[in-house]
Amino acid sequence: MSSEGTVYDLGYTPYEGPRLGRSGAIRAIFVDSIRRSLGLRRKPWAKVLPWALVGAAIAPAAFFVTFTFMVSGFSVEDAGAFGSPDQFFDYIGTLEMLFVALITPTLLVPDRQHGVLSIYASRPVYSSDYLLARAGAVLLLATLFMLIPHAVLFFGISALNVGGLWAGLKFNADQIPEILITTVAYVVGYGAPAFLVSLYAKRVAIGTGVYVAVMFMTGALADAIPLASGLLAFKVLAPMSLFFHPMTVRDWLFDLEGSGMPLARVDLPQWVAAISIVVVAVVSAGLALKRYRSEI
Amino acid sequence: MMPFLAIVRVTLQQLLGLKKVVGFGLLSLTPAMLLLFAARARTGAGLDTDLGGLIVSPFFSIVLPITALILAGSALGDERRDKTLSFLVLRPISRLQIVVAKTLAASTASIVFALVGTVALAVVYAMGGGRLNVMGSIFAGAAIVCVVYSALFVLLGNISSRPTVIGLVYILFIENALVSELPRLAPVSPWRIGLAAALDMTPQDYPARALLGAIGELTPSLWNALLATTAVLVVTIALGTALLRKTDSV
Amino acid sequence: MIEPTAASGIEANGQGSVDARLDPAFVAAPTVEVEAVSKWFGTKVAVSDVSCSFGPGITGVLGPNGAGKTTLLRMITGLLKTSEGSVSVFGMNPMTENSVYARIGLVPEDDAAYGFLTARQFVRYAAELSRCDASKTSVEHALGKVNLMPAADRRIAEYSKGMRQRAKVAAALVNDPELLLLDEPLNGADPTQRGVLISLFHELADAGRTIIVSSHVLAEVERMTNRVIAILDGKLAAAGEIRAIRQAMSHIPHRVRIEVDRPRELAKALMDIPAVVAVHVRKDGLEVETEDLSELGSRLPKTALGASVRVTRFEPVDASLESVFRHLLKIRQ
Repeated sequence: MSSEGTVYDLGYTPYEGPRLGRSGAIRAIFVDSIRRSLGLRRKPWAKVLPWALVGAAIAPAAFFVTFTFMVSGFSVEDAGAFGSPDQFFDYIGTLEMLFVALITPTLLVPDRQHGVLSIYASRPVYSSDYLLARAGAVLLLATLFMLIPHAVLFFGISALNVGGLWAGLKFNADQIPEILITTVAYVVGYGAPAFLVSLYAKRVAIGTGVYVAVMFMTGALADAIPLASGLLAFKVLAPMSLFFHPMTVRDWLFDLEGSGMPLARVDLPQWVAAISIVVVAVVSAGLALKRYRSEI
Repeated sequence: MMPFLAIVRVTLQQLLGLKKVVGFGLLSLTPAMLLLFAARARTGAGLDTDLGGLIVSPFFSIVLPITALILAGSALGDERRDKTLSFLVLRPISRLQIVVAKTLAASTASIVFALVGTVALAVVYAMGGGRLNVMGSIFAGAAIVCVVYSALFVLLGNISSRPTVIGLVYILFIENALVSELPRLAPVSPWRIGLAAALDMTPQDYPARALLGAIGELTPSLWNALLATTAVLVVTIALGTALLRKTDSV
Repeated sequence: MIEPTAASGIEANGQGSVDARLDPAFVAAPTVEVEAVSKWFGTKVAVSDVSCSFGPGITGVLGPNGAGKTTLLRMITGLLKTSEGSVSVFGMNPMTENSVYARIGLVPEDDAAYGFLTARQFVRYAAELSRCDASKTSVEHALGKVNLMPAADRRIAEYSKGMRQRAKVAAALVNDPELLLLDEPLNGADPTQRGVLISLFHELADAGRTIIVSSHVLAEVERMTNRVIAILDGKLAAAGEIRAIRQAMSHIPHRVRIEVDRPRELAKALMDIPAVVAVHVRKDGLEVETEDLSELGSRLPKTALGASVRVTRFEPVDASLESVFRHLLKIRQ
């Protein structure tokens, strides 16, 4: 034994498996985000809220299909009051907002709150990778949250078509692009502000509460704009009605009048809602990168 | 008395940080801003109807519940989550006093913002030629709403790690959607109880038709509201105290 | 297992039970008495049938992570209900008599302090909650004891870990408690701060306070106290003074380092001593394993004289707390 020191063999062996690199790290964060949002691989209590919301979103679709069947059987010619996708967005729009309010702060706030961002920093992960993975999970889950109930409704109503399922699908197929794009509008329209609030919230509860309060406040303010008002202040306020923008985009795509919407009240075209959604999304992305550049 | 007042003081300090004051202050001012928009186009009876509508939504049905939810949900819940609860309970002060102090602090904080909102409404209302004698009853009703919600959400924050989402589901779906469809369920809606109290105190000549429709099958009665408030306080404080006494949970 | 010997102060009567008056796990004038206490969470037993007492002075509660030290401390404070057994503090049950808390100070292991308060406000709050003097003088006195006065008006959220720990200690001291429970109190403290805090604890102990320190950093515990209670896997593994515990491990030979001018000559002579188990010749001396340290110590001078060697140093190398603890862990396995 040398007098300077001795290294003991404790049985350490180096890792010999595949090195997945940056893409592997992003994938791992993405999968962790999905699990965390839905309470997967966690205690049962962690699953209750997200899955209750999912159930609450799917239940109306199933109910509408069942009700249509009870009324019309297999002889439906058009979707009617209960089967039209544009109206169905009204039913699950607020649920979508709540779902996003639940999952987005849960994904962003705890890592900052508990100081674990430095662990990500010690891995081959850039701040943009981390944010991309987290945002990707929010977008995916929020999209599925909207699309699955719509799919239940779409296929259910189509199956009740007088000409059979295939005829029903062909009959309703022209709605698919509108459903998909409106879903994107809801997902980004509600997801981007939630992301923005969660970037700065110190606690999950604050993030959720502030986001919902902001959505309602901007919505309530815009909703109070008098009809046909020409005031400049209202013309500035209307594009800030974050709560109503996805609905306005829906009206635009489904060719509905939407005269009650804030933008219509100040004679602004419906596509302004889409622009507003994109602007908020871009601002959120930029602020996220700026905020997290120093954290990771 | 000293420990009790100390808990109230420090909890108020926790709940009324600068960012929260600004945020909830703005939220509380929203109904007044909406009334300002309406006031530009109306005066007289129309303005009274607008005020009534805004008191129902969003002041009583959204602003007060959300404010109380976030403040009261964190009053005791944050102590549990931040592991400072042992600092509080390892003192020569009963668990009952702790829960009462927390509830009092949360209620006070919510009432402060209710006052801000009411004063702002009063100012805009007066600017539009409205009478101010109705604002006292509105504030009293708002205070009852704040106390009931605070008691409920202090308990919720103590029980659950996700009080905000659970509270939002309750406020948005059960209270605002379900009870609107089923007026018989109005007694489970704290803001309707507070509104009923406000209506009972409102001057007889005030056109309160918009408000009456919102309280479902409740009768405008201050006395009933106070009874309901007392019952909620007793039950939530008793449950909260029992939960704190369950020592393994601290 | 630890054999009952005169050195350990344990006597065993014929039926195998222990005379509590002589058991080093107990003290003569206890402030805290723990009697056959067990605690389980579902199927996991955290503390199993621990009996001991604590009195004026500093007692270290040792154990590896997950041994049950914090659980024991929480049961002493009444934060956890015992599954079996009883705890009494100042003769009272801490779970039912909250007046006892006026005389207790706790520094928990959790990094739990109100970030939105300054240290001054935090200590004042602690004083008010304990119904004691919350005046500026009293608060500053507590802060001064932990050297936090320069930062007293900064928010705790801005503090380093060591400063937060000191703020917690100040809050625990402000009500001048007779019983102080410290769970990993030196966590995050730099060497200077450690020295200050250890001196403070000694000062309090000398003034008659009962101080219970839970830690897995043995060197620090050794600086603070000579009396320890060791918990392993939830069970009481050893209790008493460190050297006495070591003495009680008679089946594990003591290791002694002897510096001598002619090691081989002394080694030959030492092998004749029956208590010597083995002798290892090193460059600078000998390392001797012996079953009886005192016999070796008493016979060494004569042996060295007989071998005509000059001994310059005689030092037991495994009497430290760390060595004792390592032996305890081996025994447990």
